[in-house]
Amino acid sequence: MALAPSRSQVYRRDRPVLWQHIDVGVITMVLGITAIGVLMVFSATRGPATELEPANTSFLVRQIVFAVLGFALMGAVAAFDYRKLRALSPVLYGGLLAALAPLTFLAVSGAAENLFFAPEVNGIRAWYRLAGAQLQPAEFGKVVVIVALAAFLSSTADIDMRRLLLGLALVAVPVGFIYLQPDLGTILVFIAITGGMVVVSGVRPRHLVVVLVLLGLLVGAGLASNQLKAYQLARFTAFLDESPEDQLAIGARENVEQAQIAIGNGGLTGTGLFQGTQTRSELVPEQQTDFIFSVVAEELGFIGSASLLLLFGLLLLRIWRIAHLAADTFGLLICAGVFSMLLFHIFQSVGMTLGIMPVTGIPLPFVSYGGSSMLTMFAGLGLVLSVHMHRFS
Amino acid sequence: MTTVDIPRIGLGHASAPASPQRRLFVIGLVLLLAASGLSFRLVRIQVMEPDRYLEWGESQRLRSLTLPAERGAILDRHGVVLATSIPRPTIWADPSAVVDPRATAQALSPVLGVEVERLEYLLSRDSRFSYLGRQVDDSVAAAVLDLGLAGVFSYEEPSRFSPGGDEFARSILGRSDLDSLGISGVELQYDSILTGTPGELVFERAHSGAVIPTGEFDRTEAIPGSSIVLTIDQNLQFETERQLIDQVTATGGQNGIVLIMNNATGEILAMANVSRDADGVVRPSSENLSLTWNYEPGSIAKPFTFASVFEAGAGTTDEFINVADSMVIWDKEFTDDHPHALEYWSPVDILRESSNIGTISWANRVGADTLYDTLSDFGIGQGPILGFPNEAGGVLHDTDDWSGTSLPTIAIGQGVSTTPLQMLQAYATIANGGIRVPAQLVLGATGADGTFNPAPVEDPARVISEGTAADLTRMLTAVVEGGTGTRAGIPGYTTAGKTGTAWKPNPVDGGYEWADGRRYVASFAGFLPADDPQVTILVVIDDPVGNQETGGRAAAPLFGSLSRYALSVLSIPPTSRTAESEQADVRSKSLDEIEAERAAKAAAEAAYIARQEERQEEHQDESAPDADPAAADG
Repeated sequence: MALAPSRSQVYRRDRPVLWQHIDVGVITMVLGITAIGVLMVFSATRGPATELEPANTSFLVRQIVFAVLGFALMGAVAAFDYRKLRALSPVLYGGLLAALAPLTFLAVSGAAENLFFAPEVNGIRAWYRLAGAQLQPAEFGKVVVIVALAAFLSSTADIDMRRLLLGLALVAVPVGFIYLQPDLGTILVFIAITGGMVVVSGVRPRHLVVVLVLLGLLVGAGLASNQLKAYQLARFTAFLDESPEDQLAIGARENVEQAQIAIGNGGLTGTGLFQGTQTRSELVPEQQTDFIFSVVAEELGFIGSASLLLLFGLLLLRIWRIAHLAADTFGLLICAGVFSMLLFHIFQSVGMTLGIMPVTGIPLPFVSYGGSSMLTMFAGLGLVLSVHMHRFS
Repeated sequence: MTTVDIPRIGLGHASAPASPQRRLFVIGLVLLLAASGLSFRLVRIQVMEPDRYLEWGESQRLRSLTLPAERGAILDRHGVVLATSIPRPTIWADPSAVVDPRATAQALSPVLGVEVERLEYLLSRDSRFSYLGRQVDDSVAAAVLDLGLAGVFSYEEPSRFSPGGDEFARSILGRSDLDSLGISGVELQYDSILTGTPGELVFERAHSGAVIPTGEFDRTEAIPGSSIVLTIDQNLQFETERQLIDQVTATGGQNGIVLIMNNATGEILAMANVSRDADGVVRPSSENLSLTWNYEPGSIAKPFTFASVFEAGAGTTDEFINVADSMVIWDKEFTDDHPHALEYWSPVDILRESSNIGTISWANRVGADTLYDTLSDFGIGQGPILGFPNEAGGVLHDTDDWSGTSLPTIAIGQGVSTTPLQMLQAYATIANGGIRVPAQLVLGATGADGTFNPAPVEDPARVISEGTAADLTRMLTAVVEGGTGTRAGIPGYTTAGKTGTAWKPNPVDGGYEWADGRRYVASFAGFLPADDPQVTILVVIDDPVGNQETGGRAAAPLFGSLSRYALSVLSIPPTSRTAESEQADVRSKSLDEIEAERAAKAAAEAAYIARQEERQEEHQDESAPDADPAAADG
């Protein structure tokens, strides 16, 4: 005689099943990467740390808080069935546009620089200041666009030209807002995400060619317009020019050179934690955010920097595997989007410090200092885990 | 949908959409390419050629800092410190590290005594370094640091300090600025010797300016500057300044100068310059008037006119002539100081009474060229002697430029200008039996290692014959015995000297008339003991008032008082002989004797240096680590 399971038994059986399918590899990699990141942010921001001036721990503490919050967010997103997001995606997308629009309006209208709730930072108006925290809607927008685009592309079996263009238009609206703010690095991330997802979605190769031509025209028009700040262009092209003459380009070139000196200085085994002379000299700009990889490479050497890249590689392989195992196209495309986002972030951020990519400020996921980026990346991983954990339900 | 064994990545079919799962290979391939690219570049920079980046990095981090050399001291002849450098705190700020310039300025203002606006400007400049207060007191620095303000720091830098006070001997020492660069006086003249050789500290510097604690560095120590040893006797200088201030105050004068020289060696033992300031208080002058002032000496130049007469063989000390109390030459009437009947006077009488008419009569006998030659041989109007900053040289025009009244005017010390030091050196020449020994203010320099390098000196030269010098000495002795200079005499010693009450030229109107009548420069020059001169002294009181205006009243008493003090400092015993026997015994030194004295002095100096070196070696032996302490005890 079969006994009907009690409520508590159902609960006990149900929950472990969900968490049983969690990908331990992803968790392990991301924890390792985040730990290295926390340490390196501290190293980059602690200052001289002499007897008179104790080490600055404010960045360290905040980064730990971001990591903990991010980890919690990842868990929450993972527990949430990703399939319910398909219905929610129009709401998320609408919310993103509503968040971006005021910033874009302020940027275009040239409102007062130090607007209380939406300050201008480095000529870019991309942040909301809220209760002491700074929020960058475009960061969260990456995840929202991944979900929305995945929902759109997976809603029909065949993707013809019309649907492809509609899908591109879906991305183009928020990207247009961001372009007007203007935040170049983030736009490139959106292009990478879209590219990766569109390719994976299975569009016809000849359609892909059309997309590439369109993209080329768009980038050309963007660079030719006056919307981008001069320094953004200068930095973007600096890596191509070994001995620039333009002052802005020289400045950008110097940043890259300093980063490469730091990386070379690390050598095989590194100068040791907190011992990097380039890092201590504060010669590398934005070393706790966009240039953090140079700190890793200098202080931990090739062994440390290669290990970090290996962790990233393993993490991406896990995500790729999860995409492969996904129960539906929606889940697969979400994973492909997160994969593309992370890969572009890593390649751009590390490649920039190594001098093989243009200088444009993009954080190294889970490593660079910053709350918005940290939460976004963890949320993305949460989506991937959700796809994995809910694949049998 | 058919499946094949070889994974299709979906690009093979031109028209059919591919399965998303197969398309995943595309992004997998992108991952592979990206990973390869990053790895290749990373290996190349970090493993293959890190040296290239290492050198590059080092060159931009290494900075060097100049370590200022300790500035040498200025010492008196006995090694007493007159000026030296001591470390004093300087307050500075790094404006980029200042959090709130306004609040910081408000906190600092009362402590530093600087206006808030000024400090705020200094604290908010676009710079990484601002001086807020240089070389402040230790207590001020401590109070500033106690405030604990962000971006405000202190460091010690050498500051010039005069143990004798800021005013003592200031006209000689001069000043150096906050950066320890000489700007006047000996500080300027010997700046390169005092400065030394700066060292260098090479260190790794952070972009923010902070020194990287673990950074490597290389230190080249600075070589301290040498100390300048003056000929000045600090004791005598102090007493001279003190008495001169009193005398200028008492006579209502504007400036006062006293020079005391060891005439045998040319060493200046005291050089006092005082001035009345805007508040009417007489205090040590910052300007070294004894070197920078061209003035008309007046009657104290008369002995040189007689030197010219005797050297030319145009007369002797016992040749009497008629002397009226006035005479007219061309358009100008010359008179004696006071009316007198027609006298029948010898040169001795003329000098004792300081008669202008008598002196002019004798000068007329030798003529302009001879007088000019003699005066220039004595160095009058012949340019700077010491090379001191702004030192003047006096003016004695060529005879070609002389007018008809030039000869009688110059013969009595007007229409010619000298520096006080030129006049002192001329008197010392008489004291030395006619031999000029160049004046000297600096004995030499003592290096940081203790070695002493004597200053180069010119050779002595004979200016007038021994006989002429003896004649002049006898005449000058008579001035003090019973003439205009009796107030300069002191018991126990015979003094030779001459008063001067020069008319002070009016630089605005020309001539010697001032709005309030005549103005005078009262002076007394002389040497003692007359039979064996040891010290030559010049006293000049500029513009004394009332009945104090003559050299006999304003300058002679101070001469007497200072000569007494100088002799006691120099331990010169009194002569107990009577005036008569002295006159017969007045002797002057021969060139040989002077050179013998200088040789003796050089020998003593050499012995002193040897002794110092010996002492130094002993000291080194004691401090040498391998020295045997037992042997040292033994």
